Amino acid sequence: MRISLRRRLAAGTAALTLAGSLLGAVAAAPAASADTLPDFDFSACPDLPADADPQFWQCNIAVTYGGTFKLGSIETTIESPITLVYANGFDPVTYEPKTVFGSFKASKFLVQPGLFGDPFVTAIYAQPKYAGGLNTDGGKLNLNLTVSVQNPLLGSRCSIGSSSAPIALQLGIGTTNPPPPNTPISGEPPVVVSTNPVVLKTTVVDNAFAVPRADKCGLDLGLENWLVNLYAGLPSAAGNNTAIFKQYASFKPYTELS
Amino acid sequence: MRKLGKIAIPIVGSAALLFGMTGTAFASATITSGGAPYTGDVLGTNLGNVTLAGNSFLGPIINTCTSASLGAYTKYDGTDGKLNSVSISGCTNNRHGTTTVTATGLPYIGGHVDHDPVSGGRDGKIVIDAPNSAVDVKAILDLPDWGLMGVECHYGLTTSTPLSIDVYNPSNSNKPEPSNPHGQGKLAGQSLQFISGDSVCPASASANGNFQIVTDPGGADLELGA
Repeated sequence: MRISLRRRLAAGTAALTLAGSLLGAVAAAPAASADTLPDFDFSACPDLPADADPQFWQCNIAVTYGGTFKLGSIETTIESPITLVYANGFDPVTYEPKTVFGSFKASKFLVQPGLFGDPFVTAIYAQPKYAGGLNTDGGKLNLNLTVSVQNPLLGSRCSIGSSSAPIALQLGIGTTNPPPPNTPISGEPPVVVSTNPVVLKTTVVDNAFAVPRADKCGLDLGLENWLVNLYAGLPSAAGNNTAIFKQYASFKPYTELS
Repeated sequence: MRKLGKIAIPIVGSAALLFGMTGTAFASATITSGGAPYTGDVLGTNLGNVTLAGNSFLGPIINTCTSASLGAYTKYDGTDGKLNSVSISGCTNNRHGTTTVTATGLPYIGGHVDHDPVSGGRDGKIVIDAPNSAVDVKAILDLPDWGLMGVECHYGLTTSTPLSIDVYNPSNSNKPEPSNPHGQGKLAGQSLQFISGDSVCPASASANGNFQIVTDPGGADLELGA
């Protein structure tokens, strides 16, 4: 099927918007504020490995409620919560750390309104997706993401990054050491904002990650990858991208979960 | 809003370690020194680093201490053990900070020593009874990587699971540090539970380390038998 120029232009715009949305992947649902804590549902906690000692494992729920996400030439303010559930623990003798992924939920967010006011055909949405690699090595929250770019003209599998080449974030509290042009930034140490359950407020950051090119945009074949890449400035080398995630985090030891 | 200040508990682990060593001198079997039943103080001194660890949402906090000594009392039959003194120093953690471990509420009373040999392994074990309300190991953690300083956590033995330390006689070729000529104790993955402190303190702490055990004063060897 041939795609009209008008549609292609609309798609191009959408793609650009997409980049913006990508960044925004964070915001979609009602934004949590510093005064309104999100609900923490520990029923979604993953099962532990068979050999895990529950005394040394905990389930964590991290809700990113604000911040910014700059990918290439697109910078988005996070306005909708992104919720990550995971378990982590260690072997009490060897101290080998382990992490088990639970779930990752982020609403799609509007990157660009429809050119004709329509919410479907020409509007562009983006939605962050978990792409593996979750661990806490180095005292950081490390995880891989892709950003799904959603518009009928871009196909059903358009994304920024892929499972084989994801956006690899290493989110930490301490000061970063990025390549230029970025300069070091720091997160915010955790502060207790609630004790029942314990809820911490913190900011984790990373501005030393790279953003890969678009993947499978346009009939799922990559025909429109160039458009997304052009708009978003992809691929974007390390030193040109920034994640500042403001989070509420809660946790429970597995001895309290049954 | 209060500063989170406490995330880690690694210190607790070390405290637990100490407990084990002291509290229970050798009992339920026969403890001798120089061929005669021994009742009196014993001294446990670390062989290599002693480590303590607790979990956090950003990964485990592992404390490594270069010096640890435990002073305990025991009767020749292993009963009436007391942990009278604990000294742990030189502790750093894997978040580029330091950790201070202190045992409060000493002496810790309760426990026993069993002659419980395992083929190719220990000759017996020191058992610290649990729960034990006297045990209170305080850990103060500085965690610069996370911007947290002075996190205070207290750990004890609150469950019914006792703390156990494997004991090796001086002649046991399978002891943890064969090059050390004295009797030894091995603390491996024993847990302490959070009892008070910052809301972010780890729920449990794990301790690991090897110790030589001799009489105090005198530094004479001890033998655990049936």
